[in-house]
Amino acid sequence: MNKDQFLNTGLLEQYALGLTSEEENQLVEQHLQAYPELQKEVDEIRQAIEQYALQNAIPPHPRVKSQVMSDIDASSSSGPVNKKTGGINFWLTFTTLLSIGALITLMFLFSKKQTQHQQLKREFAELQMACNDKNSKAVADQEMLFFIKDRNTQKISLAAISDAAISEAIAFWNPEVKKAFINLGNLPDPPSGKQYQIWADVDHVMISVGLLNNNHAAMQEIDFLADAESLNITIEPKGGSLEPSVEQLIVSGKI
Amino acid sequence: MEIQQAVLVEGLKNRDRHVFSSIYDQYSPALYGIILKIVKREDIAEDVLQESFVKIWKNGPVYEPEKGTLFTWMLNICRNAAIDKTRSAHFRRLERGQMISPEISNHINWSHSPKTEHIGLKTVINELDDKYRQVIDLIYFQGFTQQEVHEYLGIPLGTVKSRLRIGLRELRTFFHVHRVPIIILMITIL
Repeated sequence: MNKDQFLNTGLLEQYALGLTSEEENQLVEQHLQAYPELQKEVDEIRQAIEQYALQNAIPPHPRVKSQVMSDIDASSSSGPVNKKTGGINFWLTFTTLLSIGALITLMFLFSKKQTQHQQLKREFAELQMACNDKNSKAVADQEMLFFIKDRNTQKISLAAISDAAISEAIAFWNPEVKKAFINLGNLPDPPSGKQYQIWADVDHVMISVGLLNNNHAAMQEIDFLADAESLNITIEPKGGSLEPSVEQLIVSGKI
Repeated sequence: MEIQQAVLVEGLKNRDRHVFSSIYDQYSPALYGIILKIVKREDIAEDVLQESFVKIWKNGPVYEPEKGTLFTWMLNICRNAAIDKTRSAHFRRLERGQMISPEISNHINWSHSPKTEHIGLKTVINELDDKYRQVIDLIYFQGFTQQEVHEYLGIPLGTVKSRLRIGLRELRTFFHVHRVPIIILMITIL
């Protein structure tokens, strides 16, 4: 459309009065770009209408303004959008708190189980060690029992030279396997700073075959000497002596 | 004036309650005058004005200043709301029984605003030829299309278009002519 054709449509006036549709607006705006002088006409028509309206002004009743202001306050403070957002916030907060609560509970339970697990592991290890100890002790006891019951094992009673009734230690002597053990029996504990030492008599020479501790229940292994004729226990200073203190001879027994 | 407009537009877009209150104070009398001209009853005009300003508040953020002045935009909202009202069933029931002929109606339209009659406005009415006034009135204040005016008044469509065009040009010329004395008057006062 050229300028005159466009003006003959009457759309420019309709547009200036705000009476055109969206499609008509686009058509008018295209022509306004093509013929910029028409924009001035649009502006003037609008100014005329504005001037007309301003000169025709009638102040509305003041209650209208207070109604408008309370309407816009209501629409901006309690719109449905706000309520919806509030709802979402509430559920979001609720589920978040729930998740955090569940997480804390699970972590607590897990750490509790973990502690229990560690404790059980420790107890199990202790029991296993105890069991192993018992086992090896049982094995040792069994071996000791076999050793004692062995027909080659000789039971030697070491008794006090002075008073046989009071003190007695027992030695087990096996030339077959070349092993020997002694049990202190009812010997009294040696004075403090002293300990028992056991000697074998070989061709009238006393040879040390072991230092003894005070464990009366234990079978204490001593050196086996094939040529020994007797076993003798003396009280010696702690750590033992090279030569026996003959005056301290407590018990002795012939092999 | 330009700066003030920019402030009002900015405030309206940002939903500034204080600015909106100023906009109401500044423009509501002119808008109410137009609404009253269309619906003709004060109670209905007040309702329309209230609804329109709530709509202006809600639509403020989407107003495009490059497409027209703030006042034109608001005027269109008010005018459309008023025209819609006149087409509603409720309004038609109120109008029934007091139907009036187009001639009388036109007369009422242009000579309304009883107590606030403006000397300038009277001059406009007097100076603007009836046949132009009638077309502008039907189209702008009654919501008629150009086709409907052609059918209603029984005059050719081309005539409707030319009368609207000439009428608006007259109106423009009038305000151009009369703006000069106002400025001179203001300068004189100052």
